[in-house]
Amino acid sequence: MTARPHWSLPPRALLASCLALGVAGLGCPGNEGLDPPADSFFYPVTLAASPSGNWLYVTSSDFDLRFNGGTVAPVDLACIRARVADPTHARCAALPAAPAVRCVADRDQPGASVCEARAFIRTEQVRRISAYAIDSAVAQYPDRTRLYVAVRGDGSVTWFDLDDAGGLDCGASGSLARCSDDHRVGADAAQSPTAARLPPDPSSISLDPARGWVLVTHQSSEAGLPRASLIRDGAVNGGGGAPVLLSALGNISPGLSDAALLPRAPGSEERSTWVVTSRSEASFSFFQAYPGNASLRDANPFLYRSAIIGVRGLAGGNNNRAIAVDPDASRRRAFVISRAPEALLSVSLDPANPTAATVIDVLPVPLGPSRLVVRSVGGRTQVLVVSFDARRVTVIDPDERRVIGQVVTRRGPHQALVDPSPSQPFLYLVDFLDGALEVIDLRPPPDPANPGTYLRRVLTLAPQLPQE
Amino acid sequence: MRPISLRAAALLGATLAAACSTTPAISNTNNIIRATDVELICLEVVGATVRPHPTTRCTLSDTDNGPGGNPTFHMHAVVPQFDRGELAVIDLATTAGVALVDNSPATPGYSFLPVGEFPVAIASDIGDGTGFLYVASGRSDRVLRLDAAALRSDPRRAAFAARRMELPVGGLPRDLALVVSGDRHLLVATLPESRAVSIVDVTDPAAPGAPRIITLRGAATGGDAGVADGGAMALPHPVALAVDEEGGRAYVTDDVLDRVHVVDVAAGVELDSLAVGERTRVAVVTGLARRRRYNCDQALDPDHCTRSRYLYLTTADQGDVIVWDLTRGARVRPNVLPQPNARGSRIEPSIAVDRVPLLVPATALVAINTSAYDSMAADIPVSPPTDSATCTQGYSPTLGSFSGVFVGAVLRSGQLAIIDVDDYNVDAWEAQCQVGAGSTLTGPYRFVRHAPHAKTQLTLAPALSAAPTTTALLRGSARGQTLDGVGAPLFACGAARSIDATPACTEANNYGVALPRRQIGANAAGPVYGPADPFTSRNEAWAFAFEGIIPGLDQTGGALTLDPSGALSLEAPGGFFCTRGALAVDNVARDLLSIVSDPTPLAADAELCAQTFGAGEVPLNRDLGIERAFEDRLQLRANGADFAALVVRCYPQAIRFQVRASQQWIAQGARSGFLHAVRIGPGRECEVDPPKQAEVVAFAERCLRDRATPADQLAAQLARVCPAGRACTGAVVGGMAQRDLAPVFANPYLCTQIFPALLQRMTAAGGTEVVAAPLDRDTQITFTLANAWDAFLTDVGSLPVAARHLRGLDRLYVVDTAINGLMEFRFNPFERGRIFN
Repeated sequence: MTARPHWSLPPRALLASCLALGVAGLGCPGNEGLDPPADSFFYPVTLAASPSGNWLYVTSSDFDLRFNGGTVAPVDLACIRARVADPTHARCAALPAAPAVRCVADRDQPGASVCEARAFIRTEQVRRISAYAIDSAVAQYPDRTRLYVAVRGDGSVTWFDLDDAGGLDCGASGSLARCSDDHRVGADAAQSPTAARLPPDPSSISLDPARGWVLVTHQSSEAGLPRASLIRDGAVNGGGGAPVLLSALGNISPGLSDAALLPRAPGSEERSTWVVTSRSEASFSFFQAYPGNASLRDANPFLYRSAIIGVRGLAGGNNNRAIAVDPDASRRRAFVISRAPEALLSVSLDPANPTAATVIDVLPVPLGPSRLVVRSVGGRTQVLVVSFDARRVTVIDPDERRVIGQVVTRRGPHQALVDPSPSQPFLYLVDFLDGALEVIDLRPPPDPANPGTYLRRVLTLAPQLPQE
Repeated sequence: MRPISLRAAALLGATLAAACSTTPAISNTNNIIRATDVELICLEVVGATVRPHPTTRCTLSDTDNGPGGNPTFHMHAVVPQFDRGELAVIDLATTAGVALVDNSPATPGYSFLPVGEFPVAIASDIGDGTGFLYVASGRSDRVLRLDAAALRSDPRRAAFAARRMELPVGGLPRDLALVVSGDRHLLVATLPESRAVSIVDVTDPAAPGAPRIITLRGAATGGDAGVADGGAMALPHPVALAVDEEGGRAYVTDDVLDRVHVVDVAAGVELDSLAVGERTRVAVVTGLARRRRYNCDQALDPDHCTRSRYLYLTTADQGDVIVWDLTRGARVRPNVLPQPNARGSRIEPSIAVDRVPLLVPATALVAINTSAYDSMAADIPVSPPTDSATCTQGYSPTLGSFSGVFVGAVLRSGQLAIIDVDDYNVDAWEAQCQVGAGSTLTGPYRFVRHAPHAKTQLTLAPALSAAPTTTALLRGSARGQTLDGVGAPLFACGAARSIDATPACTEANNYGVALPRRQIGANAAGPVYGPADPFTSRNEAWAFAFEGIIPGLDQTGGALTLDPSGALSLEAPGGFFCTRGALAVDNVARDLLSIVSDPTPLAADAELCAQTFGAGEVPLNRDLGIERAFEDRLQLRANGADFAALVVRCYPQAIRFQVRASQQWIAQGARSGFLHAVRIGPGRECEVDPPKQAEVVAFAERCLRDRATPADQLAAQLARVCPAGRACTGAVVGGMAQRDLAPVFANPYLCTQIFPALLQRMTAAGGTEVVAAPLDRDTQITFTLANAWDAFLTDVGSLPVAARHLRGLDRLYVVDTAINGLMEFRFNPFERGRIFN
């Protein structure tokens, strides 16, 4: 018999300890946390459409950290359109595994329906990302299409290869699979040729697919932190390269909020220029992506601030949010959401001389404006402003300086997107508080005296049906 | 009964006085959201009976805001709320509690009157005992007519529906006005998308007429009025209305055509259009009716003394305010001082001469005729109310009160500017009182019409608020170390400076800064000076920085490159070097590029780069002269091809750089900025802008003449003027710095010359000599100008959109669509009153 080590527990104590550990083990869940739902949205913040117009990618933020991550969910856009056109449409053809469409009448909007979101989501392709996603964008390259999602939770731009069947490839397979590290740019400095990491608090993504640039702005106001990042996606050259974080720029304006790519200026075609708003400084910054210079031996591409102008002539002007360029390039203007004052700003923008940019018009908008969509309707520019606090989308003709209409939304309207198909004028709107996707009819009625569903919500995809 | 004691009486009196004079407590309940306009309506309220009356029947007490003469007559403000599609009604005669009228008391909270989606304009037609409000909706081709007697009633009651009627106007209306022509009452609406004006005869309330649509005339795209034969036409786009009470005319702004349409409302025709030369948005008609009795014949512009009517307009592009003289049919040049104000110079140099000198876009205009105003319909000449004033020495105009004819301009910046059209208080300004106290107003007319009202007294000579301060930079970042004595450069206060004697810079000589002024009188202490052109000086802080950074040219970004010939360049498309004032011209200015970034070379070059260019707080060899400056790049002077190659190797990435003046001062005003004279020349190369530089030389000449510089020296001195915005230090000749040899710095507001600091040093021959001491980079001379004209501005909310004034009430109501709702202002003295929200 071998002597017991003097420190060993007696058998009964050992048994008790094991039992206690076992109970404790049973009592404490694993660190994995609760999986997010794959068949609905929760605190959705951003959405993007596939270039084909067949799919909508809705990103849920897991804002209250109820789950162990957010999700990116492909939504069958064709099925949404079919349901709007035919209220009896019962099954999404592209989603054979999805349940039948179940809907009830929208009690807040006569003639509209509320449907379960699960019937419209390709759940097996839903992917899990870290919490606090903030913005997303889609780029089409020569041989692939990519979706980028800026995620505050892990300080990354998580990217996906898309297919036209609603497939999402982020280095993981299976419903709710977590995207791999290889698909999270900026989280690992070793992936960057300049050993850069994505700075904290990303606020927006803006793309230049023709050059493969991904500009990320950051809303940090803390001194010393970089506030703009430049990623280049190798896919721009074909062959499936991966995006790489090239540079992060500091010593620039605080609280950068949103960015819009400007048309290329004559004589500077090789450079991409963005105009960027700030939510804590009365300025517009201009950033350029410098592609490098062949005459230099070590000419890395980099991002730099090419100009900055003050926002003058307003009472405030120091809290600007979304920005979008007029699709009519000849107008040389952009639209900006201002929170101080709460207004839509029209800004003249000459790409060849950004320092001459000036605020040329100010139109009041409902409380809490945050996002905007600009589109062209019959050659006329139309601006749609989402006001979170007022729960409205205001449709504005900026040239007539006229409000065409207002859409009363659910509780938390956030990012909006116009259907990419010109024949399908619908506005898709994620509702942050209700975890819903709203569909708003933008089809002008033949008879103005009988507007029908024009500028009304016609469909809502909700996590569950309201109780009758 | 025991008689009341004196003390008790005083106490009681004070208590009563306090009770009566205290501003009434009006509660704000934040019920007004996105207001768009305001209309003032007088209602007689007796119990549940409400009857409208002309506004002249209602007054407001100045002490407690309650009803004036007749306590049952209450002035009301009616405010359309855009998002809600409602009218908020405010009882302005409420002395306590909530002034908002709760139209449905049975409903919790405050309820208002529904009027349809997006109300954008409101007008009224009120008689004695009856009247109506008209509300234009942004989504309906009908205007809502509402019985004014129903303004305090409950819209849920069945009777309310009978008090409203919808009148078709033939299109989507944008603006409304009510025109009374004889016994006809005509409602006028602009229909922008129909390119027309609609007129509805509303004389008979029971049977309003059908809309009469007047399609406005287009214009040839070349800009000629009228219809072009076979040529392309630009279509009109009417926006806003301004009604001329005298002629029953409506002036219609157009934000597509550069003209204003003139509509004879009674006849229902477009008479003509005014070729104002600008696309316009907002308009008001105003004018003056009286004849002044001082020396009008000395005024170059006779219009400044005779009866006139003006159309004030905002431009669609920039929100500038322009003025059309309806009497003479021509644009006014409101930003130019009229004779006899000297030299016809601009009031605000940064603004074109045909604009009212406002620095911020205007979003709304309101005509203000204070209670002292005599109607334009009266026969002329009329007796101006304040012409009885006589001159008193040192008279101060009543700065905080308004009496006369004005235009209020609501600015996008959330402020209100009051533009003088005929300020009755101006009679007593110094220009008319040169003869002295007790004299009558006989001096030449100097009042400037169409300029923003002065906030400051215009009888004081412009001056420096204190002695300029000369400071140096410590450790490259912290400003400190005030320089004085021979070691400090200073403004030339005397004829010469030597190592032994520095002329005293005192208040008497304005510390060496010459400011335009003129003698306006004399007293026992000597001559009394006033401003030469009261409106052309400006209060602001100025800083002269030696080798200072050109504003806007401290940038992050830009690549250093070598061209095929080996020349070194800084490539920065966002540099805008010429636009910002960089220059590289021999014998004028040759700026330098200063690299701020530390080198970021490949590892193999790290040591060499660190040795050559330093790092951190010890930068080395970072200044590169500019050979040629272009709008988007700088061609640099490098010390040989090897050095140029090294620069590129050490700085392969974007750099932070500064462009600085070399051996010159950069003068920058807190409001004026850097007033340079550089333009983009051929090949996008930076060059001196001759017209701007000529203007600077003219300012310098004025300065030298004011100093009685001999004529034979003028040309030589003017040849030494630095490029605009830059100042050059005088040289030392014969051991002294002489003012006559120092280059003159001049701009519209000031001129000066700079003496260098002096230094005595040993010569090679063993003697001594006095030379100019070298100056440290960023040495700075700062000073502030005072006593200049400053525009009267007051805050009116963060996004004001409309204003309304009622003659006789002497109050102005401003609508802030963002936060405040409706704000009230009084004129005498001008002060903010209540806020209704």
